[in-house]
Amino acid sequence: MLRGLALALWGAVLLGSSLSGRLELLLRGVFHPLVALSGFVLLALGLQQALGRGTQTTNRRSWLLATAVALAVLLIPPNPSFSDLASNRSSDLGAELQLDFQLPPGQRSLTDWVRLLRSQPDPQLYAGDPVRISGFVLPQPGDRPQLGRLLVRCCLADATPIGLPVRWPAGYQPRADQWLALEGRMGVERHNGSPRSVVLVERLRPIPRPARPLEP
Amino acid sequence: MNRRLVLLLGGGLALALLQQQLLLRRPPRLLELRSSATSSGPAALDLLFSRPMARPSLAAASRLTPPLTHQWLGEGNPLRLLLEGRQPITGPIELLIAGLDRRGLALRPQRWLWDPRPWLLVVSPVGSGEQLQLQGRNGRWLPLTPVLGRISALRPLGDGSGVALVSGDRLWLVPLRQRALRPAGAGETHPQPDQRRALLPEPLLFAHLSSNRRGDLLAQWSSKALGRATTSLWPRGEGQRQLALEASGPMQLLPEGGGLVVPELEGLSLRNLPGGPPRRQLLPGSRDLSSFCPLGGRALLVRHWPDYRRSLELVEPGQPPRQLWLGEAAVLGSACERGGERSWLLLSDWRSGASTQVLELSRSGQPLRRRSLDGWEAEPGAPVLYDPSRRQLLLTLRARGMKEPQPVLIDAGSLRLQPIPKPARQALWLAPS
Repeated sequence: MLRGLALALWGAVLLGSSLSGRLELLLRGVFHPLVALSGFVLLALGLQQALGRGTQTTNRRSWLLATAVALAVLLIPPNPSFSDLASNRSSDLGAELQLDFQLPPGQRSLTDWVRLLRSQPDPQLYAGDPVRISGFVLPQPGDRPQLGRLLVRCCLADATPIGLPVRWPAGYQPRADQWLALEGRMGVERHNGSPRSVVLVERLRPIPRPARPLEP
Repeated sequence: MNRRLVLLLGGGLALALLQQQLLLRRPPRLLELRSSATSSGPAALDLLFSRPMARPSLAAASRLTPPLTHQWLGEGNPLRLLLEGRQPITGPIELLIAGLDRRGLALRPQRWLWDPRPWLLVVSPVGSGEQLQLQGRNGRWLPLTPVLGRISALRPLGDGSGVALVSGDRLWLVPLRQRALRPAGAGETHPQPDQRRALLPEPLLFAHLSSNRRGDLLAQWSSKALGRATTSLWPRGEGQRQLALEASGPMQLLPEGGGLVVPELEGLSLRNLPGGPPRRQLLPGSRDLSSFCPLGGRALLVRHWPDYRRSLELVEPGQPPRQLWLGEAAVLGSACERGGERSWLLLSDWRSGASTQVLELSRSGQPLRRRSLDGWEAEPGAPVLYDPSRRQLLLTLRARGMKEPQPVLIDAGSLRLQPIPKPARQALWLAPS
């Protein structure tokens, strides 16, 4: 009975996360059907065990714990802090820097900008280009907060944080994890003795966290 | 069973530890070194390492001879060596690359020779035909093709890997082997031509050619058999693709690749090449694309007004075109530096006896210098080309009374003319690679 309940609850967690869109915070969209299917199978298995005349549950304590955790996830859904996660991850994009697209600057996402700046690190090339990006505030040790995004291949476990330096409007205090849409122009500033591109903000607007905050 | 499992797991762990220690002690390596197609200075070099490098260490340990001012850009890997300012490059640069990676392991010092100067390419009359020739660094002229019939169109591939030309009703590609970057000690070589090959089987009525820095080639052509215009694209290293595009004039590939500018009846449209998402951005009005600026997304346009005046406009990403000049003279060609910080116009004014002049404009359209080309006539259709590595313009001009035109270099700093004594019906730059 207890084992069936635990399995059914975990099935409900997976199915509920898929249907509510909460999975978008943890996993890339292509894997969502797999999670939903697993949830359905677990739910069916759990219900079958709970309703049937099952055998005596062994490891009772473990199943009790699993049930409690599943209930906790259902009642208090996880709300990950992207900036906390980013502070513990490497921002190395590896060798995937070849750009095979040609986008007008105003249509580049934050990810496009970061890839472009890393593949062609010549800030003067982009000075004056219009910028329209969105992301979350990503604090940087010893520097101004940047506007960041998390890139994932699969899920949060392999997330790579990326960020763009921003010159915030005078007096504005960006809050970590807050989602913002920025409009402005790309400028150049010196940082640690070397020039780097910086977003000169002209318009700033708080936005709700997007339905799909993770980028491939 | 348990003992075997422990051995297996232990063996795997030991192997992983051994691999980790070996990798930790392995010094960094330079994987790739190439001339950058786009830079904000006279030239730039992109360096790819096997692991992220400590940029300050690399900047301190590396040397350039002659000691040109430069800076290292990037976040560890890849890095860019950018030559700064407006210092002209007069010869090959010897480069010592050394430094530490972020864990303090030293890169094995390497010496390279780098020559970012483009080559001068001309179509020279030889006997009753024409020949494609290249000027070596020692000033000698080297043939790249046998003597051909009239060369009606010529386009060096933007990555320097070859030259496309139309001669004898055929579209040919002359592949070239170059070594703009070579290990120090290797002798100086000029581009070597390989066997030329026909790109189209049919005899042509006409062809207009365009290329980008990736080395893609676009041809608008019409054959005697078909009689209608066709647009073909040869992406670098790939076969021919036909593009279903209608244009009211010659199309131009964007220098940075991925798209092209198509003249249409309503205006100029910007489109993506196949492979990218379909896109069509239209700039309405009676405008011609005059030249691209070295920085991406910037170009000079010539606008035709109903009262027969013309204006030169600078287009920049996300902004409406900005007028730099307005007048009644004909704009024969233009070129610009970086993102339009300086522009040069080749003007011909019918009111003053079709006199030709070069006009230098600032970014805001302020006239900076003017040089009258008295005694010279501009060759119709020949472009004005800018070489940022030597800060000079290349024109094809004909001295009054002379039968053949010739290449003329104009120093961008002083607008002083330097004619090259070589009969040439077209003169173009070939990018180093």
